[in-house]
Amino acid sequence: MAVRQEREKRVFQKRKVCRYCADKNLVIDYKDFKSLKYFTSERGKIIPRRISGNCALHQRKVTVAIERARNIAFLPFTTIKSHPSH
Amino acid sequence: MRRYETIFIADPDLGEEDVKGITEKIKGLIEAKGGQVEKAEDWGTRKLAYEVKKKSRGHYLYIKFSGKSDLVAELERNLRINEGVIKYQSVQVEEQKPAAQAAPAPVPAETAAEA
Repeated sequence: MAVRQEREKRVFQKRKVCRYCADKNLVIDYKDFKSLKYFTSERGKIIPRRISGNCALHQRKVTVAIERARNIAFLPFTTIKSHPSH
Repeated sequence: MRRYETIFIADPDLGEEDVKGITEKIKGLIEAKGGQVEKAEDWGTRKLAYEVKKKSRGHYLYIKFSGKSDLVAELERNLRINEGVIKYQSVQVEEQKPAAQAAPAPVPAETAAEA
């Protein structure tokens, strides 16, 4: 019973609203890399829509913006981290 | 005529005068090819997200202009030849849709990004 409740709770928490739909004044711009950083992981990967909560249209725009920002060295393609096992 | 914006990264070890020289050359080229320079900005030296030509810093320069597509090709050809330029990117400026005009935000958001 307890497990079931927990699962339901988690499903509910997942629901997120696209922040660009919620605030129409926000503009996705590749030059504004500080706000794009929010949509990348620590390693510099683009966070998928199911986690970021963006709608399809805005996720596409964010992706293009991140790719442009990467191209002009605002954002990293990847981060090189020294691995302890190597 | 379309509107474009080009960001190019100059070698951070170049002097002020050299950087100015490159910018003036680019501006002259745009005007010679029948384009119009709308805005030219110097964003100064910034840290790069990754190394480019063994440099970890770069001098960012921004130019917004209007012109034909062959102008962009010619501009990029010149940037490629120029030794002082380590990276460049040209993007067509997205026109704001009429529906978005009600929102006054686009301009402040852009200036915030440049700061």
